[in-house]
Parts: sequence; structure tokens; C-alpha cells
Amino acid sequence: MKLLTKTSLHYLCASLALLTIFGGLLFYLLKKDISAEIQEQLELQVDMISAEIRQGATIHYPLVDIVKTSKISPARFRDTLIYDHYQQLTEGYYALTETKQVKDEIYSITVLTAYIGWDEYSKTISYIFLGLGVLLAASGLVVNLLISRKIWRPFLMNLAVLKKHALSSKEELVLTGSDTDEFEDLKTVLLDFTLRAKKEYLGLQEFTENSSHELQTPISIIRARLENLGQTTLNEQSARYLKDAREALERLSKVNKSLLLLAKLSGEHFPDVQAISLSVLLTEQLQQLEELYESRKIDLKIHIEPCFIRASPHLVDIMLSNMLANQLKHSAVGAAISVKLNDSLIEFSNEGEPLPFAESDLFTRFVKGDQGKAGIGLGLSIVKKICLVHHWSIEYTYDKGIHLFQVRF
Amino acid sequence: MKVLFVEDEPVLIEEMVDYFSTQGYLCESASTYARAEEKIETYNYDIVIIDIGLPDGSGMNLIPRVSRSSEETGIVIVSAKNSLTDKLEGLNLGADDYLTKPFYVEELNARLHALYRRKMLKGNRHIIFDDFVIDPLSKTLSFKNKEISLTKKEYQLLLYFIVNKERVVSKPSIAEHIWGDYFDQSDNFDAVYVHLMNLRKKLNQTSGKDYIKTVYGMGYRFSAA
Repeated sequence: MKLLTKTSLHYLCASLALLTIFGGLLFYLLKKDISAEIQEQLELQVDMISAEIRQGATIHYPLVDIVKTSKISPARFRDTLIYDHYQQLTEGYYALTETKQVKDEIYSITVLTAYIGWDEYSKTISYIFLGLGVLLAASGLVVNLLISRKIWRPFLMNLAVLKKHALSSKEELVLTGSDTDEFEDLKTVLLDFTLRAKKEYLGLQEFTENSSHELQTPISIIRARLENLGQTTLNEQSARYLKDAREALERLSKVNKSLLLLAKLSGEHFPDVQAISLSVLLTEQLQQLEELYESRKIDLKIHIEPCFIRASPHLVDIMLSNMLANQLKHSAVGAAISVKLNDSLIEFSNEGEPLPFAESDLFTRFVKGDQGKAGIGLGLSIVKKICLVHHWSIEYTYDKGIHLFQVRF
Repeated sequence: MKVLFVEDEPVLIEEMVDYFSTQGYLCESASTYARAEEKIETYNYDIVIIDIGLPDGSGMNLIPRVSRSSEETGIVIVSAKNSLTDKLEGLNLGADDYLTKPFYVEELNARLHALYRRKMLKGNRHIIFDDFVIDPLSKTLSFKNKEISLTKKEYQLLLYFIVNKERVVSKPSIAEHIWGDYFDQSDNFDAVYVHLMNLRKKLNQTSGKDYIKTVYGMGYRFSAA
């Protein structure tokens, strides 16, 4: 719910509650005062009637009832209902019954008077208060709107800027100032906060890049020496040791290269962005894997439509090869694989068992399924980063035994 | 062929010089920017291999110096950084090729050969082993004037083997050469095997000789003898 709606609602509720309370209070006090007044009037009337009786007059007034009684009882002021022939409904009346001793007789005198339209009063009061409520709410809303236009503007503008800002971007965060203290404070805090976060982010990235970079030379040396050792004649045991060492080194080297690439993908600007034909690149990549599809007896379905995008060919190549390798790696012999491309979407799907880990971990670094199939667990993170760099979306779904990846440009 | 290796890591220099000497190259090395500068000014090389990260300067600055002293000289940059910006900058400055550390010496050798053929021999000299002739221009292989059809990958593989003959070449080295320096493609090792067996069969059927030997756990060796 928007802040404006929220405050308006609260304001409206509070106004309504206050108006109801005070409306009720007004009605109650008014009624009390008027009742007292009417009671006085009726008492006066009874006095006047008893005076007339004392003078010997015969009393025949409408709404006056006089009966002789034997004992004096206290006065009784009450409400009663009387049927009205004209309006054909019962109406509320005040009734005062008092006993009076005139000479030797005791009379019980009852006088009545109409409510004088209490219903109308209450209605009028309700309408006035309701109107007042609506007007208060409306004026509150208008004032709020005007305020939000002006006062909230810097806040909303900064919010829009922050939404678009990535910590990894090299651009400095520029926020709009405001003459509202709270917003100005928020701005200062945000700037400080992003600056620190940015520093830490860059530091971490630099660290990854530097450490990967530093590892490249020792890896080169170990590899050169191991390769050289492989040229000599070795007994079976040494050959086995060497083989294991080389495989592990190969892995290390790939992990390191991938980490280096990931670090670069977060920071570096890619200078080779150009218009490329994705259909051509994809076809080439598929050709590279031809024999593998054949040897694995893969049921391959390819549908490629022309597609031109602006991207870094270097990165697109890496993305395609990672996706295709991933697809193949997780396909059993004879499984179905499909690759589709049109001008706005590329789809990779393959038959296979459901993921052995949570779907949300799919693009996370070093998350992998079957250790035996031993990828290095960075392929999809790299793909995701490449999509991010190009502002493409990538989605994964699993339905009826089919893994499906969709990249939209 | 006369080659200069500019590299500050002694083990790598030793490995490269050792291997390329057995391949019949005339090898020299320089481990600092200053030494490299001096050598480039004084001698002529067919190919110079430059590591960008030198202790006393950037190898990048050596590129224009090499081009200035001899236009013919081929230049290969080697970098541990794998930075696209560096690569584009180096190629712009006049380098012919770019290789990322860690690399296989076989790969560097293949690149040197290709560069040498392109620059010095203008690509028109045939490569001959036994009775086989490879024409690098049309990328074809023939045996006693009869053409043998090879797939693109078999051709690449054969050339890689011939350039690095008598050396045990490992599967990852071959995979990297054919499929490039991509990531996470252990699957391609199966493909290496498939291509290798096809190539072996084709060579065997035409000549009756088995050129490609499997070295247990290590890889494959190509012997022309």
C-alpha cells in the first residue's frame, strides 16, 4: 500500500471515529437538555391544569388525561407511543404523570407532548457530521497529494536511481538533495553506505582477480614440469601418480580460469561488443559437438532461425559452449536434446532426472549434482553472469522430465 | 627458425627453450624488459614470444619496438591475465597472436608454426611426412597424390600431431587446441578419442602404418618413422 493511501486511510478512520463520538455526544446532550426543558414545560402545564381544576373549570384538552385517584404518588416522566391517524404510524411522545391534591380530591394528571421530530434531528446531525467527515478526508487527501508532489519528490527520484544502480557499476551514485531533514539524512546515509559496500565489493573482486592471476604462473610451471615428466618413460605406478596429478591440475586450472572470468565479468567493460549473428555462432558450436552427439546416440532436435544481437562474441561463445556442454553432460545415452533459436529467445532443453538440489541453487557457484560427472560447478554461474552483462533474462524450468533453459534477449 | 622468448619465470623459459630446441628452433631468451629490449635492437628474430607481465616493465611496450626493428618478425603475446582488453591492445599494437597462461607448449608450437607459415612462407609450402602431403592452403591431405578426405577436426588434429611429432600430447591439450579455451568441457575428452580413432584408421588404411600410439595415462604420440 502506498504511503499516501495509508496515511489517508488512517486520517479518514480517525476523523470518522471522532465525528461519530462527537456526533453521538452532541445528540445525547441535546436530547438531555431538551428533555429537561420539556419536562419543565409539562410540569408547568400540570400546575396550570390543577389551578384550573381548583377554580372549578372542566378540563377537556387534547393530550391531557385526568383521573381521580386515592393516593399521592411521585411524578413520573416517561416516553410513550401514540398512534397518529393522520400519518398512520405510532409516534414517540413524552408523558408526565403527576398526582395533585385539589381541595379534597386527588387527581392523577397526565400530560403528553410530541417528540418534536427527534428522528429528523438525529438525521440532520448525522448528515452534517458525515459531510464534515468526507470534506475533512478529501481536503486531507488533496493536501497530502500536494505535499507528496513537492516534498516526496526527491525521495521518489532517489528511489528510482537506487533501483537502477548496481554495486558492480563503476558509475558514482548521484542522489537528489531535499530541504526535508529526514530525506537529507537518508541521502547522506545511503551515499555513505553504498560507498562502503562498493569498496568492499571492489576489494573482494580485486582479491579474486589477483589471487586467480597469481595462481596462473605456478599452475603454468607445474603443468610444464608434469607435461615434461610425461615425456619420459615411467613405470606403471609413476604413470598412475602422474596421471592423477595432471587431472587434478587440469581441474585447478579450469576452476581458476573460470573464477578469473567471473571476476572480470563483474568488473570489466567488454570492448568487443558488436552486432553478431547468433544463428551462425550457434551453428558453429553445434558442429563442434557433432561427433559427441553421434557417439552418445543423442536424439538431437535443432531449430534455428536467423537472430542478430549486439553482444560480445567472446562471451556469447562461452555462454553457448557452456550451455551445450551442460546439456550434454546431464543427458544419458540416447536421451533427447533440443536447441531452439528465434529472434528473441534461445532455448536449451534435455531429458533427465530432476535436480538433486534446490532450483534456486542452480546458478550458484560450485553447486553441482553427481560428483562422478564432475564438472567444476561454475559453468552456469558464468552463463548467468554473461546474461547479466548483456541484460538478458535466463530462466530454468523442469517439467515432465525435461530440463529447460530459456534466454531472452 | 630463430625465436626469442621473453619470460621472467626461469622454469617456463627452460621448458620452452628445451622443447623448441628439440623441434629444431634456434632459441634465445630474455628474462627482463631491459634484456629483451637489448636483444631486439641487436638481433633479428623470426618470432618473438613476449610475456606481458615483466618485472621491470610491460611487455606491451616491446611490441612496437619489435615491429620497428623488423617488420617480418612474428609476435606472440603471452599473458596470465586473460584480459580481452589486453588482447585487443596487443593485437592493435602489431602482435600476431595472443595466448593465455597456463598454456601447453604444444599449443604454442602449433601457433608458432602457423604464424611462421603465414608470415615467412606465405602459407604455400606443403607439409610432408613419409608419403603424405598436407596442403595448408586447401587444408587437404593426400597420399601418393591421392586425396584422403578428412573432417575439419581430423585435419586440425593431424596438423597438431605433426607439428608436435614424437611428443606425448595429452587429451586436455588436444581438447583445448580443437575446441578452444572454454570451460567445463571434460566431455570433449570422449570426442578427442573418437576423432583420434577415426584419424588413426584413415592413416592406417592408406599407408598400412600406425602413426598414433597411445601412451598409457599420458596421451598420444605421433611418430612419422
